[in-house]
Amino acid sequence: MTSVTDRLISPGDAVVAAADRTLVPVRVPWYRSLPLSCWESVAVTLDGQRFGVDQLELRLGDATIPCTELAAKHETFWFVQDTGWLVVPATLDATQVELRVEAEIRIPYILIGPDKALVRHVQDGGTLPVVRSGEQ
Amino acid sequence: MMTDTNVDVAGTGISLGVTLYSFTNEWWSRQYDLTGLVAEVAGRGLGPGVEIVGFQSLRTFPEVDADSVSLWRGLVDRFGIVPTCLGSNVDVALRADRSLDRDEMVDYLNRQLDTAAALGFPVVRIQIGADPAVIERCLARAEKHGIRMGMEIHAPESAVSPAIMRVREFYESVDSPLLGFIPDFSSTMRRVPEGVLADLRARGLSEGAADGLTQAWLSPGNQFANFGAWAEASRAAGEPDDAVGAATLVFTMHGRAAAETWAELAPRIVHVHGKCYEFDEVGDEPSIDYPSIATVLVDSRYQGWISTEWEGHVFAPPGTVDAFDVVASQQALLRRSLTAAAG
Repeated sequence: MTSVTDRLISPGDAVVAAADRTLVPVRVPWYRSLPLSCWESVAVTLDGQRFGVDQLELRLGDATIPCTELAAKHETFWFVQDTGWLVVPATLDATQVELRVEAEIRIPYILIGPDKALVRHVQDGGTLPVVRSGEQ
Repeated sequence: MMTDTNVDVAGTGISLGVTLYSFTNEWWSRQYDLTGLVAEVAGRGLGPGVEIVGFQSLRTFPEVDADSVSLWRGLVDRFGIVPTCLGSNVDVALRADRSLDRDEMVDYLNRQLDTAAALGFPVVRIQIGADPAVIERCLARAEKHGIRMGMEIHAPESAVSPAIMRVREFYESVDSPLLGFIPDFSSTMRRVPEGVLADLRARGLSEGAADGLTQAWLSPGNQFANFGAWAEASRAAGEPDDAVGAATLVFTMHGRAAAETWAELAPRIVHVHGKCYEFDEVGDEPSIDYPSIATVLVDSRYQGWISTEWEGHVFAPPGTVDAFDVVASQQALLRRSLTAAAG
């Protein structure tokens, strides 16, 4: 059992396998919405294969943003109740996957020194079901 | 409404309500939308005061559109709630490349003051990241709206800590009725909550190290130095890094100042955060001395709202605790404590 501030994945959520990629459901591990610029790093591991920040995109609402560009998005807030999707350049055939998501999240109002905000390392994962998507 | 007992408790002029932050688990888990959550709060008689954190409850914050304003004002009318305080955030580290400068902080806070006015909140909680220069420049916007700005005094700060003393001096120099403080009971605690310690044990912290942590927290002297010494010794003894790191929160979230220190601020208290964590079998909060705090607030003639603020989501996962029941327990304890203090 994990508190919400240590959760990147909603219990019961499924990974979505598309024809040429995989979508991983991700949540904000904090009590409030945060700007995308607060995601200092993110990584996904699918069945032991790790994908770093330069291989991932974030799909949030109608927007799809390369994760390397999140740092510049300080005016785009990720609402705390919304699921975002990390788009991974991998295909999955199985009905479940061993998933791990790691992130470094800056808490922009908790200051721990001059010009230095708290950065939390959060990781979450487990065995998730995989559902098929018809999308391209 | 079943909330009459929460209004002007025992003739003290103090009324009770809740911040929706208390329902972080339910909110994060999407068990409620804003309408559903306000309906539940009203239905359980946990108002009439309702406080929100803008960046938690409102999708478009720091702005609000006309539809959101109309929705919120409709909820206020329909459920008879009273908007008490809007929690703003001063996100100094909003940008990845640098801290916000003062102009940007003023703009960021002014936008939140505008939203508070649109929604009918009379008080906006501000945080220590806003220095006196920023607050002074936002005062014109607060005056335009007739909104009071309350600097939250939250652990590790206290009514008498150096950073808050600087704000007190600034307030004295400006002497505006729109500038005040919001004491949070987390600054004046007597014990580390058992739920916090249980969470650390679940992360692998040994009993001995947990006892040592409590002793370090209770020890006199600089709290960060106390934590540093404990952390170093614990790591050397092989305690798990994750647990030792997580224990930082004990020192940033829980302060040991005396409740009596609130009395010094009394004329400038504009709102109060009634923090709570857990209740024992007779309805007391073991980590916070409610009777002493109630006595200080009543004796110093504070008149206004206390929002129940349950912060158990940091150790209690969704589904393990009914936050509405905890809030009800806190309000019952507060009513008892205020009534006794008034008698």
